[in-house]
Amino acid sequence: MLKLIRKELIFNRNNLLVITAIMTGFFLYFIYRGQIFSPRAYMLFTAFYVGASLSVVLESREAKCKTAALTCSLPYRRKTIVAARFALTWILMLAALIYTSLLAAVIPFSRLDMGQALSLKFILVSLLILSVIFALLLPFTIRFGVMGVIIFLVAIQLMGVVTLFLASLLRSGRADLLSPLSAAIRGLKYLAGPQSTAAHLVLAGAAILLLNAVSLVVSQALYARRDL
Amino acid sequence: MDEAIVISGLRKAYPGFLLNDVSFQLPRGYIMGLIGPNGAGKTTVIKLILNLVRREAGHITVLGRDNLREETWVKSRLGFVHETPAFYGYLTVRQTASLVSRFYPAWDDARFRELAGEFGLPLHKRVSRLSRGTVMKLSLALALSHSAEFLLLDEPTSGLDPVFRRELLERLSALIQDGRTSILFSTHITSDLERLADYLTFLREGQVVFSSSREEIQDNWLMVKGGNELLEERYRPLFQAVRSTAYGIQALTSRSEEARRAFAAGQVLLERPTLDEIVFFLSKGH
Repeated sequence: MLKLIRKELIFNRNNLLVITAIMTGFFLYFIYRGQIFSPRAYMLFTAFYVGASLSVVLESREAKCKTAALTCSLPYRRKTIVAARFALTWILMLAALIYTSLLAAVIPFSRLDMGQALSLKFILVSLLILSVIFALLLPFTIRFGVMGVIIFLVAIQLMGVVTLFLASLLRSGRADLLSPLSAAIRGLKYLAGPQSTAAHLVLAGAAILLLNAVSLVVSQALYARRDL
Repeated sequence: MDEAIVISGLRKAYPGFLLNDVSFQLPRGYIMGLIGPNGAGKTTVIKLILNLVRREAGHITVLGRDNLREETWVKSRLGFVHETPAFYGYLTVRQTASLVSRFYPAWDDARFRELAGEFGLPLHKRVSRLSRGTVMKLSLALALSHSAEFLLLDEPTSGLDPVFRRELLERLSALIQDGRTSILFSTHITSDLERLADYLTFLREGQVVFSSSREEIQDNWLMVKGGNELLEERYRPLFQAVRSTAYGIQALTSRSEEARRAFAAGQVLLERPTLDEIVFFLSKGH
């Protein structure tokens, strides 16, 4: 599997360099405008951005170059190919989280105090968010390919609009319409807050593992069914 | 006999196409040509062997092992050339070989360099800048550099110039001299196969029309040329395909002995058909 991970890295290296450059510029701006964003919002935004972009990049590039047939002709099972991509995406997502946190911590003009965000609880919340995005996105891109990626990108834009709308609804006191969303937000806030216990953290950790395991199994099943 | 590949009862359906009950086998150390008109199912069969598409029924055994249950083992001993090879365009030929080499324990870099030299591959040129023919040569060089015991070549001569095509066919012919390497070669250029193939499998509309050795084909198939009396009902069952022209009738039969008995000398002209004629007649049908 390490050979497959290495192949994916070589294959995607140009894209990854471009993403890193964009990410660096993007996050340097946030770091500089630290008075607007809290370190925790920065961390959550990073998790979302990194999760969404990296999981899409690996799948769409293969589809664009039409190299899936080459990859699947190599002496590996498709399950292993998906597992390698899954592992690589997680490695890259974690590396990107560490990178952006380091950016915020060491850049001289940084106005973010990353000490506030770098707690075990908050890291766990970030991983949970990463897992939710990634767990949904991986099977989605495998099932729908490049078209799926386009649909996803459009959906992300729409989600931004919907989120703004929901936020205005929440502010206008109609939170009862949005009970699942607000419950999820309350849950995450509770998990990151001082009142959550070790048992909650263990449960959150289990949820992260379960989400990823289900996503991996579904993705492998979808990829095994795909005709190339 | 030790078999390189055994395919039985293979089935795969696409909208508007059905590959049905495909069965054939190839002994180890021989070359089989997979022939048929466009859309007959040749590429689908090769993709099914590589598990690039999911079969709906049937079994495939490669070098004595099931191609799905022992997929990794089987693929490590396969060399493949896809109909339209796709590589990572921004990598150079050298980098592509280096990338692929890591997946094959038996990779022989000296052999790749030798083949690259013979094929005229520019090692430091990006794959995206290569012509279609050169990409095909790269694909062939990769397939031939890891001591594959079974080569699956899907239209490998398409896009190649006649000189290189001939050289390639000679190389493939030399490869099987070790008695261990086998080749399944799909093409619609039948002249390639007349020079090369030991066995031929003809596919039409997703079904095997025949699968046998070249000698059997030469012995069994016969072209009958004569007048309109060949269209009489009693002769009809003898023929697989009939073509009527302004000058008479040409009919193809696989029952050469019966045909020889049925027609008196001088009544008709009996000829051994070329592979091209067999393919043409069987593709066109009655």
